Amino acid sequence: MKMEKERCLSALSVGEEGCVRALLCDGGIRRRLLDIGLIPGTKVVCIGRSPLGDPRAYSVRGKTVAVRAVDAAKIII
Amino acid sequence: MRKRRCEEKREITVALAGNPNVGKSTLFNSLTGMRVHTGNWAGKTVGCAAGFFETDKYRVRLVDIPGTYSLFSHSEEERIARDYISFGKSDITVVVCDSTALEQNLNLALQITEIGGRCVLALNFSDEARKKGIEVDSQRLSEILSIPVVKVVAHKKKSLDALKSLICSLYEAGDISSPRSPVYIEPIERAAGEISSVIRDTGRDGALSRWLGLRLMDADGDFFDELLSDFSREERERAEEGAARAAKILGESGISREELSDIIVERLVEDAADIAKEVTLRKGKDERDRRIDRILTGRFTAYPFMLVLLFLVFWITLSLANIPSELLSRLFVFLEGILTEVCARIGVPDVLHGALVLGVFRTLGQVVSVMLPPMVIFFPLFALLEDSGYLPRIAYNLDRPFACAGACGKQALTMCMGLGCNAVGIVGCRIIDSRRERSLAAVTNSLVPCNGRLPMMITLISVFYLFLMPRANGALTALTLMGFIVLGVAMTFLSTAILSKTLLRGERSSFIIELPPYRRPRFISVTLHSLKDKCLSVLLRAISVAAPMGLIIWIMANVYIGGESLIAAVADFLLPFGRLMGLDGVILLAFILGIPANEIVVPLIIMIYSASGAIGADMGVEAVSAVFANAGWTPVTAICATVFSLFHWPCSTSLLTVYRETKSKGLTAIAFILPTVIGILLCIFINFASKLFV
Repeated sequence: MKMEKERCLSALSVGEEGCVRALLCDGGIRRRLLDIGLIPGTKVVCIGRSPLGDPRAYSVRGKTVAVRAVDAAKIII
Repeated sequence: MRKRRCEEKREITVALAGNPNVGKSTLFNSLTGMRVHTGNWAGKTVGCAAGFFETDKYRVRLVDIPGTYSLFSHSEEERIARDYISFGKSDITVVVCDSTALEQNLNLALQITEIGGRCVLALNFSDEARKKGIEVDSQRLSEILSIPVVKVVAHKKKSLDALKSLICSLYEAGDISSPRSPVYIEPIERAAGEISSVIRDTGRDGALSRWLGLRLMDADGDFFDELLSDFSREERERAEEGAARAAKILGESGISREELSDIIVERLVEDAADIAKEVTLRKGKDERDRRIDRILTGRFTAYPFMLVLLFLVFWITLSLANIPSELLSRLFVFLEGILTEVCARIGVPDVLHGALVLGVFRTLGQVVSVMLPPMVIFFPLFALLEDSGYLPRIAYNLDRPFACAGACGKQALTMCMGLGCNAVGIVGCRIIDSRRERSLAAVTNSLVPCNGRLPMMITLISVFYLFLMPRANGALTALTLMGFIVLGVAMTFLSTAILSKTLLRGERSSFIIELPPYRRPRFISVTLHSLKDKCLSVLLRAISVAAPMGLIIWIMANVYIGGESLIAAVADFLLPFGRLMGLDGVILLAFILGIPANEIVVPLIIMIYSASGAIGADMGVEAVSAVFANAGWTPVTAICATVFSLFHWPCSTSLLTVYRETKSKGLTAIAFILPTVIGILLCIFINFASKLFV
């Protein structure tokens, strides 16, 4: 049951998962995100939050990566 | 049996590449043993370290390249890695992969095999993989990639024999089969083919030509030139024509420059995922890291844990350092006695004896005995924390406050390094991606006290308490010290925030870090390597920087002008400034002369007060307190002195390091001015406040 409404990665709460659909950024940050495997079609799971809420930890292709909310907002899932 | 003389062995260069956190440096250390000349201070490879190991036939020069996720990215570290690997500076490339996270690691592996050339894939952490229930079919992987694959456990030297012999046999192998390159969609293959066929006609290797074709399509000006740097003018023209034809094909297929990059990266990621899936026979389930992280990064437990850890590290460092410091001190006194004897025997004039033995040698002794023990305890502790995988969690936990101040969580790590030695912390700023944030971290690094200043601060705090109560209280001193360190941290945040809005304004960078799996740190090898690294650099600094200052101090103390020694004269001159700050001229002068090494500040103060011609041997706190009281110190003086020891100009090594890292005189000036101004203002404030209220 896919939600048709566009959500971004930062909206995922701990334990929720999503699938990357698009990246709304370019340049160095885009390259970086693609390099760690956040290409369209990748499953992402939010597995934790830091003590002050931001950044959050995500599981991507077997690795755990921390991303700030402001950057996660550019990843559409 | 007669020993055979060492023949000249053939030297081969092997590059060690891989993602960050895959154990490359461990592998490097295990292979090269202690025979390393590394320019690496930060515990994280931030430049190419080179070392050697020998096999029967060869002398292998091993180059440890900074960890990178891909060869395409734009950060400084990744550019270094890319340049080294792409431009064929090594005979063989060993790609180190983490067996427990193969999918991620294969991305880089594929990019490297695409270049062609001789590669070996080393599957590290194979013991961890087994424990987690993960099994990788290295045979199948080798078949798919067409390169040799070997399982290793980086810290176990025995497991490395297979790797060593593979390197040798690969070097000797005449014909090598082309390693795997992913297949891209048709328009891209066709476009790349336009360029690669032209290049192949110049006689270059097939795999390399294909790789050049792919990269030239996407390359910007500088990279384009670099790729064609060893092409003749005619070859270059033909390559450029091919590139134009390729661009046309892509344009016709509706693929823009950005889309081209995306498609290529996506293909690599997907290919890596497919291969990983095929060769991973069993996938383990591991909840351990998540459980640990729930405590170490949990909402209510993360910060308390960090504070406790900080306290523990300090407590261990400072209490364990006491005895070696004492012993070293005695050793130097003993050696000095010998030197004096020798001087007397061979009839060295008093002046020379004074200058060299009482001036230079004593200063050297003071610096080494105070500075060396804490550092050789602190840095191994720090290295152990890093080995365990905890350090990125510190950056993760503290990113929010740093982001609010306009910086990023990695600054927390450089601050931690700065607690050991500010110069090391400043070099460590290389781990920060954005130049602006790197500068912020570098110029504020001296706001946290380093190991050289901590003993001084402890002495001053103890003196303060001795003025108020009959006996020194260790626990109170320790707590106060912690308070000062917290003050330093708070000031770091404040300065970072202000600088971000004024002198060092700019874009917020993105902060993406990997939280690696927790690993049991390898106590012995980590400690030994850290010890060797740090001992050497500390001793070198002491000799090169403190020794000359020792000479200057002795001269100043023993040259008399108008009945007064030079040093006393300058102290008198500085008196009014000192008084303003709640100090006196002597204290101020001692801090100024202590620029090369903070360890000599307190001995200097004592020396000038007692009008002796040389720095004295170490005294206990009670004796120091008596000398200070005699010279007119009040509790306020002690507080101001402690505050100033926390906030004053960075030591000369740190300043030079800031300049070397940032290459900017302006930033170095800020690094000098910032803590100084904070210190002066705070001291003036405390001085006047005390006059009003006390």
